[in-house]
Amino acid sequence: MKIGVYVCECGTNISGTVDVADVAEYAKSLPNVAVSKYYKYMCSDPGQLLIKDDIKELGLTHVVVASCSPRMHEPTFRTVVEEAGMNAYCFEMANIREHCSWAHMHEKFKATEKAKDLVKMSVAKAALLEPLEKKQVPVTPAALVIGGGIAGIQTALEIAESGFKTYLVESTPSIGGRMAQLDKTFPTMDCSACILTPKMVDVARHPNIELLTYSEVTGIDGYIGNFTVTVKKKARYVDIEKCVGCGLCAEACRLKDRVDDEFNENLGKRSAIYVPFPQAVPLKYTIDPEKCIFLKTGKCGDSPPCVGACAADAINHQQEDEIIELDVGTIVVATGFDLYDPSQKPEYGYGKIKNVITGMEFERLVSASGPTEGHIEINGKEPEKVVFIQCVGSRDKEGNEYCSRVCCMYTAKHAHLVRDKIPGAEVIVYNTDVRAYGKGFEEFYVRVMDEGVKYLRRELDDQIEVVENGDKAIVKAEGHPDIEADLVVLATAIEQKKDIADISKVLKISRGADNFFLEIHPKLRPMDTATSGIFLGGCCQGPKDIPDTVAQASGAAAKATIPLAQGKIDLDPQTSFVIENNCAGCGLCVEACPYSAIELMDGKAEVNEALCRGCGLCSATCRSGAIQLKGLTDHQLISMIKSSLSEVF
Amino acid sequence: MGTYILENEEALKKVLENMLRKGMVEGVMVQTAGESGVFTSIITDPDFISKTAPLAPLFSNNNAVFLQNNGTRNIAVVVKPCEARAINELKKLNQINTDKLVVICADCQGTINPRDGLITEPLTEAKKKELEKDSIPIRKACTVCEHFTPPEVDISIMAIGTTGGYILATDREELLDGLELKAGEIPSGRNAEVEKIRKENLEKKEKMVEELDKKLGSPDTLVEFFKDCIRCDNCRDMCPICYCKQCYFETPLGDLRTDEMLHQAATKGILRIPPDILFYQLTRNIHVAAGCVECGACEEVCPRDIPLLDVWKSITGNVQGLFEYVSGMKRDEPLPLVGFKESELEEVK
Repeated sequence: MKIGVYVCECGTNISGTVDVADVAEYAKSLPNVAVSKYYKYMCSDPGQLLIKDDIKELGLTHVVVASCSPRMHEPTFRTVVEEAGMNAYCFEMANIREHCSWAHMHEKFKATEKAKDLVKMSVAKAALLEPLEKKQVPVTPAALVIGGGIAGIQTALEIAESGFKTYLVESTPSIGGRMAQLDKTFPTMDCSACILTPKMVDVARHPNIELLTYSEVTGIDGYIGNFTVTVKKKARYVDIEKCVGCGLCAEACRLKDRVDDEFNENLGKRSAIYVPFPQAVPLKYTIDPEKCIFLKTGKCGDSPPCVGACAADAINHQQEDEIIELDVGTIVVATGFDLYDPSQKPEYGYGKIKNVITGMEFERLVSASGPTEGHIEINGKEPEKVVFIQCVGSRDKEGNEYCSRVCCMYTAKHAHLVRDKIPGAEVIVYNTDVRAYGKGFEEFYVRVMDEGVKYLRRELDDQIEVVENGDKAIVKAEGHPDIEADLVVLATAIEQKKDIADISKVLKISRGADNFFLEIHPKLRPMDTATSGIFLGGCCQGPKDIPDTVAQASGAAAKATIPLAQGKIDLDPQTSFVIENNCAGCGLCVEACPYSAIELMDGKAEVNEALCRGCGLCSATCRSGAIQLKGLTDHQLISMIKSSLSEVF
Repeated sequence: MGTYILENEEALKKVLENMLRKGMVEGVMVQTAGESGVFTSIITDPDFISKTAPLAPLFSNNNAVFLQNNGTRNIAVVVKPCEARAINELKKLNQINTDKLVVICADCQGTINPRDGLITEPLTEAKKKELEKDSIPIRKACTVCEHFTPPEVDISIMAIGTTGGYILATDREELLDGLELKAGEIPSGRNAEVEKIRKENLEKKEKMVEELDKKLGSPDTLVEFFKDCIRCDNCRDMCPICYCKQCYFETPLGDLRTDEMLHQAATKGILRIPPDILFYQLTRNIHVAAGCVECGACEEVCPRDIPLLDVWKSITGNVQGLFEYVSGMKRDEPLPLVGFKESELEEVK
């Protein structure tokens, strides 16, 4: 065995504190060390060449580099040793920068001694490292996109355009999501439906996209490249092959104009058989099982009038849920968001005072396709004075601490729309810092102020209350005179989906403190989850406006397409393995594994190497050491510990 | 749940005998008084039941150790609460199949190590006074025990709170088929009495832990505390919660041979033998803390009289307390160290 030790100066990052020459000299005294050198930048080309030449000339079997964190350059040096003919996993790294020089800048002698200890430990471990072979698994050339909002639509279209089969699963009867509910989009004021619906149609027409609306993902098994997804196609009670979307059934329905219309934020009414909105994709009717008289009671007059009205014979009240299985290689989660329910804060009077509505309700009110056909009215009258209140449910010390990122601009848009449609109206915006950071945002905000919208600043901690006064609402904001308004619009926060606990359970991906899905690295891997092959698009990862959502969705599509294009995946060989004779079958490792990679088979643990991410929790949990992690075995770790102990332990 | 009156220990023996004669179980594991002393035995012949002393207040080891990897045949076992808890804990760890056991457990009012005296009749307050006079000590573990009533078992026998005799309680009434037991009630004063004893014992335990905490605190004091350990491994072998098939300290990695000891000695010039004493003890602490039933079997078998129970009282209280968990009270509770809750241990964030 011949171990080479290479100590990096990292410019002055390490050598400014640690005496690297001393460390390199010390390393020569360690067992099995054949050569020990130091250099200014080990990661530079000359530094890499130094290592490569030594491996070839001296026949090194193992290499230790003492430099920065393995998170920085472990892959670099693994490649270096591999290129020189050594196995990549016979390489070990000692972190003498983050763990030493940076942490002990003012204790140069002790830092040098610690660096020696760290090198000693790494040499002790390196001596026990064994070559590991990379494995490959084939990839199913198909992707699943969960959620048919703008994020899911964008992702599905881009993956499909790359030539791969894409399943788009949407839980409601139509794709389109939240964007379909919006009237105009800030800051350019283009019509939301006008830019969204062509994309929806593209989805429906794309030969590579299989659209599964009114469907839910109920289970995911497998691993990157080889997921098996269970999807429940909820019974629509309408045969979508036959339905032509004529709408005669909805006209005939006994509950016509009597069922709250969720697409219109319950401001309008629909029938029990419905399409959410006229541009729905697919334009196929669905019976609401919660409302339909026939489904609830088994009887609807002599016969259900919808059945009689349907010339295509598409209605089938006996239809049942259907469970299907899909095989896909990668998955993009684009489940979107819900909006904060302001009735949780009674001071705003929402739900009690008719004049108080949410921003999304305002969208429907101002939309030409909405219940008032775009006419802003409250209690049947056009408002003369409108107050907007921002940060409702956002930037809240007790609730959502984050900024929802879109409310400042959608409020500016709403204010503009009020001024546009009701030129004489007085518009006041209570805000706390207007965040106009995006392209064209500041210009838009200035324009809205120039249009005569009054911006009043208040601190978030300051009291605010809305009270009813006849057919008006009085907004009492601390530090400001009371305002008697006809309409109060609350800029409610973007929140994680309300049924997120169920979604999380199926997807097995983690959430952050803000409840949104957690990306693996906030800056460098914003679309990746901790589970390989599952990516995030849009607001399920955090609040975003439409441009950011589309950008992230495109990114997620690119990430999800890479493994499909490669056709096979290299698996990190540093996975856990079971020493069967030692396994007591207690199952603690099964419980501990966050990736569901371990199963008990005939009373013994068994590892699925494709699912294992090498985190080592199983190994740490196992009392007898019956489950071990390749490249970090008990033997290797204990030799590191023991080499560093100075006491008779 | 059915509750019945058992007039005396003999009535309990009838229950055991009945199970054996009716073929409900193939054997009964129970304490038996023989010519050479009192020992735990497995009885298959119902005629031997008359020789048993199911409620004898003796404890030399935790019998759950012998039930690990029980096979496919039904047996009844008469155990003390700490043994019953170990059975439940091992059930959660897939090491005991409780479906094949009928666990019978009685209130425990303290036990005696058989080497200190062979007492076969159940302990009462009066009996305890007598023992004190004869200088026969109650085991230390029992004097500081908080869980001396049956945990989740198949048949519970209650003595505390009754005026002579016992109350038998069970959800599995089929185990009493063919017996004509009189229905009884759990005595109303029982809870108060149990709490009173628990409070007394808890005070003693807290004092014990306090004394220990004064002694321990740094690695150096730990070295001192365990310095007499000779690595006989008795504590491990007699611990019901140490369930591994292959102990780390018997693998080549943990069971050091001379070459490895020489290698280690070379790094500092000297190595104490046996090596890894503290490593061994701390490893046991880490592995067992969440499951320890505080039976004191480890201390009972330590040939060097290391006060191991004191350590376990401290560690178990801290670790299980942190998770609001008491090991072995139920059969199907999730284990605290592998369960994950979205919000827990806020204080250590």
